[in-house]
Parts: sequence; C-alpha cells; structure tokens
Amino acid sequence: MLKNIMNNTVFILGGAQTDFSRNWSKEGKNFVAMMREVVEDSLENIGLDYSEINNIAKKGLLQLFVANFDGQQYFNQGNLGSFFTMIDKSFIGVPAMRYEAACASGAAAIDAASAKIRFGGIDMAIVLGIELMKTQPAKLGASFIGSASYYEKEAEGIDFPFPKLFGRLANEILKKYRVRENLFMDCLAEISRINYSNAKRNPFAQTRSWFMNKKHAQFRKDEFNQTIGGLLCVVDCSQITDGAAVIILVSNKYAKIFAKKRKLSINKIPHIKGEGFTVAPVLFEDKMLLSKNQPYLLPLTKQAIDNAYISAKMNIDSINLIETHDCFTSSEYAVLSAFGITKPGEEYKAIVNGTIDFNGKKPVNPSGGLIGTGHPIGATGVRMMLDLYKQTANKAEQYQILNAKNGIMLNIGGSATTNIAFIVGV
Amino acid sequence: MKAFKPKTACVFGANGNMGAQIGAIISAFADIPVFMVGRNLQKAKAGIEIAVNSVRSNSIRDKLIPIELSDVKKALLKSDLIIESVAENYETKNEINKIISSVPKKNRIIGTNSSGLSITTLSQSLLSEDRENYFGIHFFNPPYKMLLCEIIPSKYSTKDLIDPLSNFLERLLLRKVVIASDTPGFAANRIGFQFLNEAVIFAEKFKNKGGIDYIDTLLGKFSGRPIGPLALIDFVGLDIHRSIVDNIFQNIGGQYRNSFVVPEFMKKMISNKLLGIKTNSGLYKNKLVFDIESGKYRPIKLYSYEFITNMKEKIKIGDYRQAFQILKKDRLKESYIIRYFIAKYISYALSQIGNSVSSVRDVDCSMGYGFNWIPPTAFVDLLGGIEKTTQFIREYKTLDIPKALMNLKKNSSGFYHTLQGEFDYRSCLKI
Repeated sequence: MLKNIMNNTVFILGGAQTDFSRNWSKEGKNFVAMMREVVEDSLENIGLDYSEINNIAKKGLLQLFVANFDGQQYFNQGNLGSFFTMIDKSFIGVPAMRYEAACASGAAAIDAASAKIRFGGIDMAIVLGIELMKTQPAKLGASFIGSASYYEKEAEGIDFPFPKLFGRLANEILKKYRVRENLFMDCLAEISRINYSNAKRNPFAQTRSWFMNKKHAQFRKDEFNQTIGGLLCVVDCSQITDGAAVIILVSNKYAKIFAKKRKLSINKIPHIKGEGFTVAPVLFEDKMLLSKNQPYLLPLTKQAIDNAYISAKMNIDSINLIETHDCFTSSEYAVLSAFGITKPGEEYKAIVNGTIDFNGKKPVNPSGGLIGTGHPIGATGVRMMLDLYKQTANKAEQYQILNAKNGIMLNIGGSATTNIAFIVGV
Repeated sequence: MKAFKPKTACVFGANGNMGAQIGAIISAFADIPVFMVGRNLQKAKAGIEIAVNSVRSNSIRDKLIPIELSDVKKALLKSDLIIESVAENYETKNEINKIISSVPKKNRIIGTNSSGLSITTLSQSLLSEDRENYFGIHFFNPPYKMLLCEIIPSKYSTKDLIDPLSNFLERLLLRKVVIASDTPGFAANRIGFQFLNEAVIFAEKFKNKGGIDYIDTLLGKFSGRPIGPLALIDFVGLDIHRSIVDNIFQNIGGQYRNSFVVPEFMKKMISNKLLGIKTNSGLYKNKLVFDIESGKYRPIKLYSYEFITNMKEKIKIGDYRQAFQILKKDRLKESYIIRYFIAKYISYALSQIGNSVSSVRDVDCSMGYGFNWIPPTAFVDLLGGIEKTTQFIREYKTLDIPKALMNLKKNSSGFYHTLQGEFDYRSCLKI
C-alpha cells in the first residue's frame, strides 16, 4: 500500500498565508474576509487568475478543501467549504467541504486533496486552512481546544486542558529517559528561544516583534511567564492566533502545462514526495501504556514519520529542514528523535549542539513554528506545507535555508493522537 | 565608524513614559545595560517598573540601572549611546545637552527623542565635537508596538554615522527606520498632524452638525485608522497636539499652512486644562463628547449614513475595493468630506518627498509604522491605480497632484504599495 501511494505526483504551485499577528475580531471582520484575502493572495502569488480557475472548474477538475477545527464554537459556522462561493462566482458549482482532525486538520485536508489528485479525479485542489480564535476570551477558547482530546475524561472542568496534557508529556520524557531536569528545562527554553528568534525573520509571524531571549525563557513562574501546565510556562506554549493559509495542489498533467506556459522547468516545482498518517489511542494514558518498553515515547508519531520516509524512499540524511508541530516545547522535544536526528533519549544533544538551529545541520522550524509563527489550529498544517513549498522553491526570502531541496513536516492533532507527516521537495 | 554596537546606554527622562519604554527596548533587544536617569532616584526606579512592564519581562530588570541626574557623570563615562527624552522644550533639552557635553567621551552617539524641535538648534547647546554625533532619534508611542523610528541629522551631524546607527536600530532594536530632514514635525508627525489638525478645523466648521463626534464618525476605523482623529488627539494630549502643530505652522509656508492653525475652541480647552486622557476630560469625557457650539459635554450621538453602513458590510467580508467604490459613487456631503480627507492625505503625504523625506517608502513607513494608518500608496492600489487616484484627487480643485504620484511604479507583485509583503494595509480597514 505504502509503495503505491506516490504513483501520480502531486505538485505544489504555491499559496499564501495571512499575517498571523492580525486580530480579525478587533478589525471587525469575519471568516469570509479571511478566506477571500488568503485565496486572492494565493492566486496573485502564483500568477493565476479567476478566468483560469473558471476553466478548470468548468471541466469538473477543481475541488476545494477547507481545513478547520472548530468554526462552530469559535464563530458559530459550519459548512465552511460552501463559503468559497462568496469569494468569486468561479467557485459556484465546485465541490467543497470542511475537513477536521483537531490540530492536524490542515494535513488531513492535504491528505484528502492529494489523494483525489493522485487517483485522477481532479487536476487542481485549493486547500485552505482557517481558524478564527480571538472571537472568544482566552479561557473559553482554550476550553474549546479541549475537544481535541477525549473531552469528558481529559478536559471537562479543567482550565487550559492542553497545556496540562503536554505538561504531562514533559514529565513522561523526564521519567522515560532520565534526563537531568535542569538540562531538560534548559533545552525547552532553548526550543522556545529558537522558535521566537526564527519568527523574527518571517514577515507573517505572530510574534515577530515580540521580545524574547534565552534568559526570559529561563525565567519561569514569574508574573510574565506563569506556569500553565506542570513544568510548562507561557514561553513553552504556542499562542491563540487568528489565521489562514492556502496551498494549491495540481496533477502532473496540469503542472506540465503550467510550467510550459511560464517557461519553467517542472523539476523546479516542489512536489509531495512522501506521506505517513497514523492515529494513536485517544487517551494520553493509553498512549503512554503503548510506549512502555518501547524506545520511542510516541511510537505512532514515529511510525507516521517513518511511513513518510519509506514512501519517499528517503531518510533524515536527505532532509534539509523540518517543520514540526511545536504546540508546546515538549512536543518539539519529544519528536526530534522520531525524525531521526538523534537516538531516542538523546534529543537534548540536538538542542545543545546547535543541530536544530537556523544555521544548524537540521534546522527545525525556520518559519518560527507554532510557538513563533502562531497556531491558528485549522490553518497550521497548511501553513507548514506552504513553508516547505517556500523553502524548496527558494522563495522563503529572509528565512530561506540555503540549498533546501527536501523538507519534512509533522502535523499532530490531540495529544499526538493524529499524526500526519509529509515530505516535500524538488 | 563601520558598525555601531553600543555596550552601554543612558536614557535621560527615563522616569517618563517614553523614556522608560525606550530604555526597555534598548536593554531588551540590544541586550545591554541602560542607565535610567531621573531627576531623583525614586523617579528613576519608577521608570524601571514602567520599562519592565512595557516589554513584559523581568529578564531586563538587572540591566536597568537607576541613577539620579546629579550623579549622572559616571553613567556618561560608560555610555556610548545616549538618548535624551525629557520635556519637549528647548530650555530643558539644552540643559541636558550641557550636562552631556560636560563629560567628554569619544565615539558615542547622542540622540534626542524630540518630536519636532529643530535638531540643529538643539545641537548648538552641545560642544562642537558632540554636535557631529548628535541626531534626532525619534521613537513613537508606545515604542514596543509602534515600530517607526526617525533618524534626523542636523546640519552638523556626521553623515557617515547614519548607516551604522540605522543598522543598529533596524537589526537589533527591530525598528523601521526613516531618515527625515530637520524640518518641522520631521516625517510622520508632519503628515499625521496635518490630518489631525484639519479634523479639528472641520469639527469646528461643522459644529452645527455635531462637530467632534460627527467628524470622528466619518474619519474613523472604516476609512483606514485605528481610531477617529479627534479621539487620537485625546490620547496625544491637546497641549502636545497644539505644540506640535504650532511649531509646524510657525516654520513653514505654502498652500497647506492653514491646516496647521489650531482653532480657538481648542485653545480655550487647553487653557481650561481639558487636555485629554491624562486629565480625564478632553474632546471626549467617558461617554460624553465636547459640544463645540454649546461649550458643554453632551452624550455621543450615533450618526447613521447608508453609504457607511454599506461600506462596512463590504469591509466585514474583505471586499475592500467594493467598499471604496461605494465611497466614490456616493453624493452625500459626508462622503464628500471623507473623500476630501483621503485625497488630501495622499496629496500632502506624497508632496513631502524631497522635503521632509526622500522616498515614497519613507512616507509609507512613517504612516504605517508610526501611526498605524493606511499608507498613502496602499490607497492608490485600493482606488484602482494612478489614473483613478488622480481623478479622485481632482474632485478638489485646491489639491495638487504630486509629482511622486505620477512617477509611482508597481513592484514585482503588481502593487504600488511599497510595504507590500511586510505591512498588511488591509488590517487598517476596520469596523
């Protein structure tokens, strides 16, 4: 099954993301404005116009995929796919729907879109990830995120349930690998520092003008960096963010026509080289039971990454950069070994020796990741693939990793319940 | 000097809101010790609390050193960057300059955070060797959020220092730097306060229609600013507004000079100590507004115009071009006023190129990062290009079509907006 999955190549033409520092509720704008802006920006960036979209749509070869976690609760709206029709009349008649897999909604929508292209159903998929989260006060908004876990058992009646789950993950790392707590906490502070520092180069990052340095990240439990879940403090968390991202995926056939018209070499257009997709037991404690006596703390996350490597016939050696799901510093720490950067239990080495730094051998989150760029839940997976596209198409400008040929992303939902990895390259 | 990387800084007026926050930014982002100078130690310490709170981090606390003015010599001996942010008048600033020059030191840069006084005049209170290293280094309020920083060389400033200073401000302090001429109001305030004061003039002119809240209704969020211009003056302080505007009026000529005349009603309010937020009453007072006609506060009115409702509907769903089509087509007096302000804003801002600033980008940076207003060239995109913008301005015979507008070039992504890709002007259109 894994061997056949990449038969028909899926190319990425590009896309766009909104400025994740914007607060759309303060601007008085709704999700339609956000969808319109990000779609129009994508078409402009790629050099497509609505007459071309209309041509593909008329042939029945266009489909629209909206990744979104919780529109119903955050802004009382479902059936988001149908709102493409409000952006432009070219979208009237085009199949469109919403995909949801908690914080992995973005990658889940890409999985559906790329499958449809691979099996020859369509030539073009517009994948739009969106989340408007600042519509609600922080505590209430955070309680909505609780539904990404088993709400009844893990979130009901708990303030900020997810920081607490990933705080437990931090404890499990300490327990399983017996890392010195001082060293471990210093590594978490360094992960935070790197993500914030990388975000300074990204003109769309939520925190690009925020102050952060290692010392601040190490100042835990004071009034500006309060404890939020076990060992984790505010600096360890990605923040509530409004944002949307789009990528436009096309078939081999369409990519050839697109390249020819623009006198581009098709070899320069990034494509999806590998994919892995696993689901782990929902309850955090069941996950931990499963990993007992296993080298990896999150074996099914590791499996998703491995499946991506296998389907791409690659390993970490040919990967130039990683975009991972640092919803918390502990979630980034835990998966460094799963990518193959270090052995399990030795994740701290990659942090201490600078491997994951922007200028390191395996830069992690050159965009700033979820901590630096922001985490509009449904948009995150799409934003990650957009960043892999920018890096491998050499269009990441200030945050370009030199000579980036291949990148891998990991988008997770729940407490590492849904795990989706993609490899993108040229 | 090839690179400027100060090891220690000193901020005068660090007990004030701006001084404290400037100290915070320098110590946080450049990661260096900053002497926080106040008239006495207690005031200096109070400034440190403001500083820590402004960047929300205790990590800078041990790098902020409180020091009283009488003891400042040891701070000056160590500091290679000095920022003076004391009261906005020549007398007080000159006094500080003399103290600075009394402690000679080589290779230091001295900056004043003046918002509009002549940098050349101020520098004359320094010894001649310090004059060469002296600049206006003008931050905007609140500096942690407003990223603009103007560098204003005086006629004595060493030109070779501009690049190193600018690099320091941009790369380390994450500022957006505009090099402005030593002209009244420099770059951003010259353009911004033209708009603000003309709004005051219009409030008086249309006092029978409601005056202050009437004008703020027309020039508020949906037309590209975070708050109405008159509400903004309450934040600035009516007295500060007047001193900035008076200073520009006294030092410029030309056809736009009259828009810098402060109306009588405002002068009266200032002498009655109705200064804005800081005195809890200004143009507004809680949910009341100052009624110019009666001279009393009254409840704020809700003005309703169909074209504004329709524009807001379009903005809400992100259809900005349609929103401005509605504005263009409407024939009410109110839409005429809005178009006039936008047209004059574009015309006046772009006419500043070659005077207070040297490029279109400078103008856009000033208004975007200094005021959080839609940058002028973003309006050109919104209105549909150069020709349509020219027609838009021509509705008003008193306004010039600036040469810079005719010479605008699209960037590689097809926009006139010079900050495309770094400053999203759509965020300025609010409801």
